[in-house]
Amino acid sequence: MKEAGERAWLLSWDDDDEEAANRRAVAAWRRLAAAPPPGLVDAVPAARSLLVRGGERLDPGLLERLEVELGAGLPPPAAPGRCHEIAIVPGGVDLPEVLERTGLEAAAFWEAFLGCRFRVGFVGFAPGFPYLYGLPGELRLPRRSTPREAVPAGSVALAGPYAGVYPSVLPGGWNLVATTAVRLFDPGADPPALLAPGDEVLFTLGS
Amino acid sequence: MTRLAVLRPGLLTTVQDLGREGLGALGVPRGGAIDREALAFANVLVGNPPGAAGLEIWYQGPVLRAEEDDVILAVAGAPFGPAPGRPIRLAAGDEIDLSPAQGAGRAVVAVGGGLQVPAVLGSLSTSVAAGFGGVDGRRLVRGDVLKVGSARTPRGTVPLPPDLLGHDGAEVVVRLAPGAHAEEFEDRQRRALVEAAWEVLPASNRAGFRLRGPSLAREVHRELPSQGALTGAVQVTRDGAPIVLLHEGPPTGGYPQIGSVAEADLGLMVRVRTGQRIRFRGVSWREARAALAESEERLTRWTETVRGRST
Repeated sequence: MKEAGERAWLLSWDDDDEEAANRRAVAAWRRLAAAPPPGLVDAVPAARSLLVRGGERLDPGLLERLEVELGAGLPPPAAPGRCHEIAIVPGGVDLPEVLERTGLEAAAFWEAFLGCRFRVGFVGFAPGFPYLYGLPGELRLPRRSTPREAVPAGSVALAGPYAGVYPSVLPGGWNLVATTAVRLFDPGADPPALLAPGDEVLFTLGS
Repeated sequence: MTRLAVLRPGLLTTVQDLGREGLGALGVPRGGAIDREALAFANVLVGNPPGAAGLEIWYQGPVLRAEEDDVILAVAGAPFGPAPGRPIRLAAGDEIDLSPAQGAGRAVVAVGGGLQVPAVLGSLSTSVAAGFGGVDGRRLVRGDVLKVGSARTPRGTVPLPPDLLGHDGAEVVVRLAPGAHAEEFEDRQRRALVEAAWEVLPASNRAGFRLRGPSLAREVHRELPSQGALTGAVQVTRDGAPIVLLHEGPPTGGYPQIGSVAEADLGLMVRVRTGQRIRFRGVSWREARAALAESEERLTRWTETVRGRST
């Protein structure tokens, strides 16, 4: 555990597999969310870590124990939260290039993508933007060398080990392969984000 | 109901309070005023609780008109308007021009009774990037009418501590605690960070201050896993340019964090004037914590003085 602020600490896990480390981080986040300790202000899971902010009453010893407990043994199984089906329409501007670089025919690409069970590793970058684990190796591509200034809302995109969906118009360098009409972030809803860390996502063909 | 009409909106004028907490895991930034200390002091000047919603202004302030009698305003953070740092009482029809004095960058305007907009996700703050909160999730425009809550009459006037209107010198020195990825950098970049004087680029916004100075690019580039990033984190982009995250910055990021501006000095940093440079002075987290406690005590003491409870 590392000091990360005046009253903030970073818990992290170093499994070789980032996805495994993330399962530990999400499990730690869920523990804090299920029974918030006195003084907890916010907890933010990410790829391999959990950033915790607290007030004066938050006991860092408790966080240290949480890091050790969640780090012991095999990573916890991905206990799913809610499961969401998100209907998509294939055809992002980068799709032809993605097919060329993966060497896959469109049919094979979509069979692989639609067959994935994705897990929300974390939500960050912008309100409601999910980083989804579960992309098979043959669909992994680096992000574009030059990011776009405005990626349209609802773009379904790939970068590195992640799939993601742009909840609003944002700058971004991910490879755009499809679109969805599903609203990922609504500040008037409770909770405001459709997807939370640990949730499962299945993409389906929609119109 | 008391109201303030927006005759001219200024460049980036938004309703801000202390923001929203506990939503980082859904990607929602804390938001709220980037100079919380100035917001608190200005609010106390007009008789409000320290976190009441006011206006945050950047570079060019608004022109406002009181629609009813007894609207009280106070500006803190930088010299904008006719009487920065003092409560100003407006009668119905009075106009106030919150133009900046030479070089003033950012400030807050507290309004007695607080601005009243619908709460979104537990805060009145405007998230400009995400388009929610404040007035329709956007910066003010000409013709907006702001509702003001019922004011408590402030008792007398106590001058603001001078640093609450910014510094006069050529440089502003802010304390810098260790960053999460300080060890990803070589000595050369870590030294450059504290030895250089940094200029704030015009591309800065509520998400972050972009700084100009020597390149802090690492000699060996390595992709880092995304991790939580706090307000004040000094991130370094791949081309070596530092960005200090402010309150509307994303809760997670993939850039390495070379340092962390101490929370006690975030207000001081954003009060930097055009032409002034920022210089970082390294401290430990322990020192940063002590500085924060000190600044909180100063606000408490000053509040008591203003409210006439101390001698």
